[in-house]
Amino acid sequence: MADQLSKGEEFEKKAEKKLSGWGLFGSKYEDAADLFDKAANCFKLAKSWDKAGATYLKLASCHLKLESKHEAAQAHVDAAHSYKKTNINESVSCLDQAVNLFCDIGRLSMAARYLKEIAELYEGEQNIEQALVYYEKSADFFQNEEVTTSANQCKQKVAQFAAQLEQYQKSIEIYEEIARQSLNNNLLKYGVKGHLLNAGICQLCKGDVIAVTNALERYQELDPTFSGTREYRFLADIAAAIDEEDVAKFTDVVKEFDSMTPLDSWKTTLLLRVKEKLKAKELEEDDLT
Amino acid sequence: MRDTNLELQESGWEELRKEARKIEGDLDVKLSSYAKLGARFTQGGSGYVDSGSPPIGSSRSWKSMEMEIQSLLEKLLDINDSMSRCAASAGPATSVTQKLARHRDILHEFTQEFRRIKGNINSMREHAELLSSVRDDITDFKTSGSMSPRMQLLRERASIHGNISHIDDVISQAQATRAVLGSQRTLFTDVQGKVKVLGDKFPMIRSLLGSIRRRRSRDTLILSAVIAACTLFLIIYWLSK
Repeated sequence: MADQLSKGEEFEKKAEKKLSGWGLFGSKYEDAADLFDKAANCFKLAKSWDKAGATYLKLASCHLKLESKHEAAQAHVDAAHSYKKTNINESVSCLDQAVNLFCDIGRLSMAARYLKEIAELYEGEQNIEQALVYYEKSADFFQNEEVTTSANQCKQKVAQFAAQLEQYQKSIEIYEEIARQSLNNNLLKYGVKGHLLNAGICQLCKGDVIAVTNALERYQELDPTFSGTREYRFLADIAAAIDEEDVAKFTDVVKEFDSMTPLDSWKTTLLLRVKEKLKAKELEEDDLT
Repeated sequence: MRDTNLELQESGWEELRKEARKIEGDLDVKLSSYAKLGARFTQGGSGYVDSGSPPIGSSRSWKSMEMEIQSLLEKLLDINDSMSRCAASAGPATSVTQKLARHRDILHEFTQEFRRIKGNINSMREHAELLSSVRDDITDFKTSGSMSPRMQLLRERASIHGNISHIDDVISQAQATRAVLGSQRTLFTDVQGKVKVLGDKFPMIRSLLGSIRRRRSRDTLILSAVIAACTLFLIIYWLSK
């Protein structure tokens, strides 16, 4: 541990000296890059993550001087992985620079992968706004490269976070689009009712019963088997309960559905919002009478 | 003077470290209590038997405990910063750096665990709040639910649907992997083609490399000769002057 740390510092000093010196034969940047790489490796072995990250950034600068953008981007990625353990903001900025470099050299699929990684970092930090932004960028890049599966995964994340941030229309459009695509795939068409259920719940959160009814009719046209499923029955009953402003009926419907299929935390949060709104309306009616 | 300063810094460091260790112990105990509280809340929620006072009581103690843990984490973060500044001013000592890294890791771990437990408790509380209702309804529902065989069939179907969702996830992963492998195969095919072309032209390349090497050595010789000549000329000029 201590040996690795001192060895790393030695390599770093040599590299700095080589950079400051005047290279007569050969390139000083190449030699400095080699030494920086060794130094960063020693720092990683010594578990000095901050030093390793800083050294990788210097390595990236050397590669940029040498016009090697791919190596520079890779160095930024290594720096981000080092900073991930100590400093999330620094890690995100390193990945951002790596993404820019990959875009410059036309490696969009790798750029998409690292955008997704940035989004996952923000998700871990529970910064939903930024996670949504980066998942959206990542989905765009995957779509450009015709990697539909990964694009759809990122889109579902976007829809999930958009609903949490009360951007229901965006969420609805994404779920409907994914359902439409899934219908054409024999393997994925059995999951369509899940996507339509999510879209329906977002419609309920908007609070417009007529829109919910129209949406349910549209979903029936989209997928003829949907009208026979419990998800359709669940959405229709909830829409009826909201129309009648009956909280007890709403609770019964949700409880019955939950006893068969336990609701995950996302659906629970959204349905709780619907219930709170319904309660407020009922109290308002009582006050008026 | 320097010795006195160093002693002061060392004593400050030890005091800070002692305080950090104490707070870490407190945090460990409180996180355990917090987790138990979450588990009890879960049991209370799933039973639906005591739907009157326990949610309110557990909610109140849950909130106060959450605030306590939050303040302890912030205090520990401040102490870690102070220790970091102390270590930086004291000078490079390996054991100090290692201890500091260990304290930082502990803080990170506690933060992650607190966040996870908090998320779990929030989920459970929202779930219970969504499904809360009058006791009579619960009793009626339980009776009707347990009696009907149709309910069991529906439960079975829901399980099958859950399995289908999991299978979809696995299939999408497999598809992504297949796409990546396909692109890799294309890349390797290109590489193979290039290598074959390179092999065909290998004799030409070898002669080219030989020419390059000869030219480079010739350049080196010429440069050396020029430098030597200039140096010799300078020496002669200086001697004659």
